[in-house]
Amino acid sequence: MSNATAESAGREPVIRIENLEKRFGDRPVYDAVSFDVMEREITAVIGLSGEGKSTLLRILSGTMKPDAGRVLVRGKDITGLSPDGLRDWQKRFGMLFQGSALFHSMTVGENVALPILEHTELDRNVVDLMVKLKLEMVGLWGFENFRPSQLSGGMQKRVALARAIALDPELIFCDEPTAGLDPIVASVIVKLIMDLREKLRITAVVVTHDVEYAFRMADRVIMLYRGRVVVSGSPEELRNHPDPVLQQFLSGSPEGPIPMRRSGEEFLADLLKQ
Amino acid sequence: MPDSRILTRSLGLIGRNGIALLRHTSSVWWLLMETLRWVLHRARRRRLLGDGAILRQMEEIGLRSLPIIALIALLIGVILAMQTFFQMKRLGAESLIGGMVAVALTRELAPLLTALVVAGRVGAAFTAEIGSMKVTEEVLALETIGINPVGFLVAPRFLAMTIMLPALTVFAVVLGIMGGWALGAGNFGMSTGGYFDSARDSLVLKDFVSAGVKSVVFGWIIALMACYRGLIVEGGPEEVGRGTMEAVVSSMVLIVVADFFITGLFYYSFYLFKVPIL
Repeated sequence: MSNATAESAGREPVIRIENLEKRFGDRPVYDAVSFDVMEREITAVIGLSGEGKSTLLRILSGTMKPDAGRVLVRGKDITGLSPDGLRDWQKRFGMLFQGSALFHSMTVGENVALPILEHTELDRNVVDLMVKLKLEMVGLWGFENFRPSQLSGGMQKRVALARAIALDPELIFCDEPTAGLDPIVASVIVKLIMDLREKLRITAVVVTHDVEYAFRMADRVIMLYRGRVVVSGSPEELRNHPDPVLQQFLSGSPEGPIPMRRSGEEFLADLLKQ
Repeated sequence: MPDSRILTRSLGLIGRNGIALLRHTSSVWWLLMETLRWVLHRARRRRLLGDGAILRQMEEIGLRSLPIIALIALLIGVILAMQTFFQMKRLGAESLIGGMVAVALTRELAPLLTALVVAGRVGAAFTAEIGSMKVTEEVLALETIGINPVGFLVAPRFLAMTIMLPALTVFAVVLGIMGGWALGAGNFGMSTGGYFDSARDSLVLKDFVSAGVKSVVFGWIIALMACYRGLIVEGGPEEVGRGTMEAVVSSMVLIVVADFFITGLFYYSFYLFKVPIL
């Protein structure tokens, strides 16, 4: 694992998020969130459940608009794109959904072929070949004619990854890639995402609450808490960071600045009030 | 004091439901416009029926509904013949039974019953399928790939329904008339020729136009309500179930309401004011 900050100094970021704000009703999800995603790096966004991590990917993918702030991709804002602009943007990234989100009415091959057929005019034979190659990259050579329901959760995730990279995107967004998988399968997925960076020079944004895997694969980790970036840096920097919120999150302790449950004193005070 | 609270609460309830109704109505209207836009888009690209999606839906709506529609239409024909036979016999007009059965089926019963059965069978399946795609983020995945869910999910179902519901209605009319004939000829001693002559003489073009208009409108109601309820599902599996129930109930109610208006329209324009068609 390289030291991200030193290596990335002086480079232009692929994605620059500037003062992002988003509210759902009265509840603020983001309050002036800003960070950079550097080229050919894996940026992991960690935080508690319900911290709006998935919302971040929706904003990045253009399916949700922020209330304020900008998302600059190589200097161009993608938050207010026209339908045509949005289509062009959607060709440039792949998305790995938490539950894989494979189309169950289609075969594995049709799932991977769908983005290619939608965005290119390639001959059917070429598309079939591309599908085979993408499936080979995730270790599922020969699985084209299976139905998603015939595959295990980990295999479905790999198909979803193959679909996400079908159009050879420069970016990939992953929503909780290891959630619900056993440790071995989760490691396979993490390894595949790291391979994509090496082999396809893909830049990845991974949203997760799984600290262990985030630290294993990421070059840079961003911690979100209460709608703000608490800390950001390389995994090594974060491990030794003094921030109490971060340290509680890393240790998984129920005691600390993050209120996980009501304290004994609060409970007593409530009882006495009645 | 409690009285005024009840009043404000009821007013609030009426207001909230009214707003929800308006919101749903405008959303369904938007969905209709968007769907029609996609159908035109497909037609322009000469891909109206050109991919498997529509044929699959046509099979699901049409072919798979045939047995149940056949059974119901046949029995309705038999029931109609039974119900009318004794009344007609008192008037000595048994020979008109063929016409009675044919007109009742074509104008009213075949379009209505076919639509209600399809709303329960296919409409529910549409909502459940699209609703679970919504829950498992498949709809979001489509959007992220750059595929419009209305064009991809709603338009094929809408088109298939527009074609298959009228087809099923014609099938129901034919089988219903056959059912009436089977009972009339087999049990009441009517002549086959007399029954079919009466049926043929009673039916006029207006009846077929009315049946066609009804079945297309009913088909649109089923497809739109079912897809809309599926697309607005949020949350988990229990919401899919609730959406499915609401889709079936609301399309059944809307079908009967639309039937009332279309029948009224045809009655007043064609039968009272003698608007010439053809």
